[in-house]
Amino acid sequence: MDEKRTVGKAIPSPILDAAAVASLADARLRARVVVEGALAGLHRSPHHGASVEFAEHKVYSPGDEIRRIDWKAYGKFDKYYVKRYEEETELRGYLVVDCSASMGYRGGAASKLEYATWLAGGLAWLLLRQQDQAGLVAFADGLRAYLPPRGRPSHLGDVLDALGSLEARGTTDLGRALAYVSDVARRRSLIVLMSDLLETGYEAVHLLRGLKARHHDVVLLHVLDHDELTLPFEGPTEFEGLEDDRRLVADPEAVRAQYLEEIGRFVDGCRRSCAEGDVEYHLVDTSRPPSLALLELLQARGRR
Amino acid sequence: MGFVAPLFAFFAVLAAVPIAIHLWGRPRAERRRFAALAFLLTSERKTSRHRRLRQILLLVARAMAIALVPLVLARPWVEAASVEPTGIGSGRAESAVIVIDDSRSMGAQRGAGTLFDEARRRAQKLVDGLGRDSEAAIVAVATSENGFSGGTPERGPAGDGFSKGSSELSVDRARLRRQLAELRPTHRAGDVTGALRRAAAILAAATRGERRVYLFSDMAAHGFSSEPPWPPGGPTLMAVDVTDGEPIDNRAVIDLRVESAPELGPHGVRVDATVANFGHEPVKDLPITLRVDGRSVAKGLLEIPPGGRTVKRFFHTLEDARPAGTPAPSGESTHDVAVELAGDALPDDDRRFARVEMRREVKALLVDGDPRTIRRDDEVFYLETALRPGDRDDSRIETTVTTLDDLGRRRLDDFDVVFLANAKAPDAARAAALAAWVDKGGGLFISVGDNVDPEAWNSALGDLLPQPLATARTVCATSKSRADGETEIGGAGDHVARFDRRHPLLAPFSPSAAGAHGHGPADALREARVCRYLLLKPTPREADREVLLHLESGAPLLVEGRHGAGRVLLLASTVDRDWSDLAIQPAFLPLMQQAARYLARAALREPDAPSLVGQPHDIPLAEGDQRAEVTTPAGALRHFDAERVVGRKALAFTDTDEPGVYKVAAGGAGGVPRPRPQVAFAVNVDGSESDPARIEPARLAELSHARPGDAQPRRRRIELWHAMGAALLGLLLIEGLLATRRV
Repeated sequence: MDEKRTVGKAIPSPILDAAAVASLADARLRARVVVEGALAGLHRSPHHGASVEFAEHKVYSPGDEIRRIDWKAYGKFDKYYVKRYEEETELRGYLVVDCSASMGYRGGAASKLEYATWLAGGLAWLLLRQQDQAGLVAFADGLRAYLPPRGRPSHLGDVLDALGSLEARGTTDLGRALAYVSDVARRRSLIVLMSDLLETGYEAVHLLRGLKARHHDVVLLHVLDHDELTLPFEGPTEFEGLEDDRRLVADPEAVRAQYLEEIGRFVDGCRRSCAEGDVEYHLVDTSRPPSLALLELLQARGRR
Repeated sequence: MGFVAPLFAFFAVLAAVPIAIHLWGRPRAERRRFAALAFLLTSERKTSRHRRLRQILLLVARAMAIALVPLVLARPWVEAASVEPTGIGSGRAESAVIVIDDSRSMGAQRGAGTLFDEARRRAQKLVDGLGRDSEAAIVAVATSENGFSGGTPERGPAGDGFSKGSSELSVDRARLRRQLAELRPTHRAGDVTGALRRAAAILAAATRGERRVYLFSDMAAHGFSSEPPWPPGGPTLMAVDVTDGEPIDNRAVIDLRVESAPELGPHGVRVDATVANFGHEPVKDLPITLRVDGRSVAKGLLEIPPGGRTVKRFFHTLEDARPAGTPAPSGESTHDVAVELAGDALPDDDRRFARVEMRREVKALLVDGDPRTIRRDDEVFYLETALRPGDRDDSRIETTVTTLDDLGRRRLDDFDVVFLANAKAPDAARAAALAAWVDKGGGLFISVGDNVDPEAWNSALGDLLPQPLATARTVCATSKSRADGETEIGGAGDHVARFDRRHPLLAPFSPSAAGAHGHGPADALREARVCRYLLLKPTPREADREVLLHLESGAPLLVEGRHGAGRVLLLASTVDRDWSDLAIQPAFLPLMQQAARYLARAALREPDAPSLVGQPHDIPLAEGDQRAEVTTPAGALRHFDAERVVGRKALAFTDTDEPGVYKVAAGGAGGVPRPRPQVAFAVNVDGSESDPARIEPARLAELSHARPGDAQPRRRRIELWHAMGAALLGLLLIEGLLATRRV
C-alpha cells in the first residue's frame, strides 16, 4: 500500500483523477502471454525449472534432472516424480498512442487524443505500481515521442509529462509506428495501441496481427467519439475532414441509417479481424468515464 | 374540356410554390469538422440516388396536390363520343331485335375476354336500357342460320323459343337476359345479312311504332352480302362495332393439301399449307409446325407481307405403324396431319387438319413380253423375283403378271406401276389407255428386248417414251450355255459409267449407303455388263426427260420422262439375261424395287372434299353395323344406336361444331364398337372468317337504307372532378409516405 501511495503522490497529474485511481486500486494487470524477464513479479513464465514457486509433479522420464526427483512422492507411489516450478518474470509494456489530426475530434468533454492519454497514463501507473516496465510511443505521420520501458516509479512522471505534451495534428502512418515498436520491443512485450483507425482501417489490424505473430501480447483500444458512433447532428451540415480537405454537404438525418450501417460494419470488421489474429480488441466510447474503460480492459484480461 | 367554375382553375399556378421553395428556400448548411468523413462520403454515395428520386417524387406530389385542389373545385369535364346507339335508355317504347354475331371471328381475344363476350355485355346493357313498354327479341348470327345439330343441350332449355338461336319478341327482360347468357360463340361462319333478314321478319309482327335492329358485331365484311337485308322502309339498323375500331392482326392457315411425293418413296408426302396474313404489319419469322399423328415432325418460319399469303411446303415420309410381315386388313394406313401457327388473337384458324390414307403396298403389273414355259427363261422371271423376293411382302410390292394380250382386260387404275418387259408395241387402244393412265399419275417402266420394234414403238407410244427408240447396238457376243441353257456374255461389254447420285431412284447407290466391306453400292451397279442396248434418238422435249444412267460409250441406259402427273422409265436393255447380266447382279434388286416405289402412282387415297365446321358429314357404314360412336376433337362421345345405323350405307353426322379430327368406331349388336380409322374425318374452320376487314360504314348505311341521323354516335359529358379528387387523396397519401421516409 505504501508503494501505491508513493506512486500516486509522486505524480500529481490532471490525467489521473482520484476517482479513476480509486476504482482501479485492486485491479491486477495480468498479461496473457508469458514473457521473459529476469525480475520476479506476478506474471507466469513458460519456462519450468529454477524458480521459487512449486507448480506440479510429472512422471520422470529419461533426461529429467535427477536432483528434481521428489523422493517423498516416490516413497508414496513407488514411482519417480519430478517437481516442476514456475518462474515469475517482469512485464514490458509499450503504450502506443495515435496523435494524428483525426484524434483531435472533440464531441464531448474531451477529444479522442485526451481520452487516449488518460487511458495510457492509467495503464502506465498500473504497470509501474506492480513493478513492471512502461514505455511510450506517440506517433502520427511520424514518431512524436518515445520513452523506453522503465520500471522505476519515477518513470511515471516522465510518461505523464510526455502524454500531456501531445497535440493532434498530421496524418496517420501507423505502419511506420508499429514497425518502430517492433524494432525496439525485442523481448516479448505487452503492446497497447490507442487509435481511432479512421484513416488506416483494417490495415492497422493486420499490422497488429504481425506483432502478435512475433509473440507480443497485443491490445487494441479502438477510441471513437460518441458522435462518430451515432451521428447525432441535425439539419443541413457541411462536413470537413480533419486530415485532408474533403468536404460534404449532407442532411445527417438522410444518411444516418446508412452511416450507422457503415461504421458498424467497420467496427465489427476490426473486432472480427482482431479475434482471428488473437489480438485483444476493445471499443472505447469517449463519452464513458475513462476509469470504466480501463476497468473493463483489466477485467477482460483477468478472464483470459 | 371545360370547367363548371373556371375561376378556381387559375389557382392551379400555386403548384409553382413548392418548386420555388425547393429551388430558393434551402436552409444554410452548418459547417462542422468531422473525423469519420470517409464513412459519410460512402453513405452519401450509396443513398444519394434513391434520396434524389424520393425528393423529386415528393416535389412532384406536392406540386400536383396543390394544383389539384383548385382544379377539383373548378369541376372540369370533357365530352366523348358514346359507342352506344341513340335511343338506349331513352325510355321510348320500341320493338327491337338484338342481333349478336356469334361467328368464329368473334372469338378473337380482346383483353381478358373475346369480342363475343364484349358483344354480349353491350347487348345486356342495351336490354337494361330498353324503355318500359319496349319489346325485344334476340337473333344469333351463326347459330340461328345453321340451327342446332342436337347433342348440345347447353344451347338453351327447350320451350323458351330460343333453341335455334333466335327468339320471338318479348317484354320479359329476365327471359332476354337469360337468352343472352345462354349464347355461346361458335366456330362457324356467319351470314350477318341473313341474320338481319330474320330480324326484319321478326319485326314484321311488331306492335310498337318504332322498329329497330341492333347489331353487335366485329363488322367483318365477309358477313355481309351485296344485297340489302330489307327493302327501303324497313327497320332502322343500329350497328355497334364491338372492336371499337381497333385492328385485329390475324394470321391463318387457310388451306392444307397433302399429296404424294414419289421422289421420297411410296410413303413420301408433300404438305402444302397456305398461310395468310390479314394484319396491317408484315409477319417475320412466324413459326409453323407440321404435326403427324400428334407428333411434331417439321418446323419452319414464315415471312408474309401485310395482306399477303404464302404457301409453306413440307416434305415428310409417313411411317407405317404396322410391323413388317403383318397382314394389313385394309391394305392402307391412316394418319392425322395438322399444320399449326404460333397463336394469335384469333386462335381457331391457326390450325388446319387433314386425314391421309396411305397405301401400304405398291401394286405392280408386270407385262411379260416374252413368256416361256421354263420359268427362268421367262422375261419377267428376274424382275418378279427382284420385286417380291421369296414371295414375301417385306418389299411391300404386290406383283401381278400378265401378257400384252391380257393387258386390255386389266383395270390399270388398280395398279400403281406397270412394267412393260420386252413387249411388242401395243395397239392404239391400249396405247391410249396407257397414256391416259400415266397422265393421271401412273408409273410406267419400259424395258426393251428382241420383241421391241423401235419404229412400231415410236409410232404407238411416241408421246409416252422419254426419247424415241433407235437401232440396237451390240458391243459383245452372247451365247447360250450348254450346261444350264442360260445366256452367257462373251467379252467385257459396256458398263454403267456415271449416274446422278442425288436422284431418289438411285439413292440406294449413293456413297452414304456403302456397306461395311468396302465394296460400294455404286460399284455393284457398275459391275453389270451390258452386251446389247437400244440407242435413243434425240428428243425436242429436253425438259421432260432426264438420263439417270449413262454407259461408258455415252449412250443412255436408263431415262426418265414425265407425262402429265405420271412418270415413265425407259431401260434401253433387257430385264433378263438376254442382252446384259444386270439381272444377276446385286444391284438389280434394289434398282428394280426403287424404280417400282418411285413410279408408284399417288400413294395417297384421293382425299374427301374438305369438311367445314357446321357442315354435315356422311360416315360410311359396313354391312352388319348396329352401333356407331363418334369421338369429337374435344373428346366428347356421340352414340348412335341401331335405329340410325342398321340397314344404312352411311350415317349423317351433323354435330361438326369443332375443328379437328373426328374418330369413328362401329360394330355389331352386343359387341364393343371397333375403331374405323379409315372413316375418321377432319373438320376445319371456314377460312373466310379469318379476314377481319370491316365493312365500310357508308356501305353499311347504304345496305340498311339508313336515314341521316340514324346510328349517329352522341356526345357524352364526363365529369372529371371525381377522378381528380381521388387522385388528390392518392397524392396526399404518397406525399405522407415519402415525407416520413428518411432515405
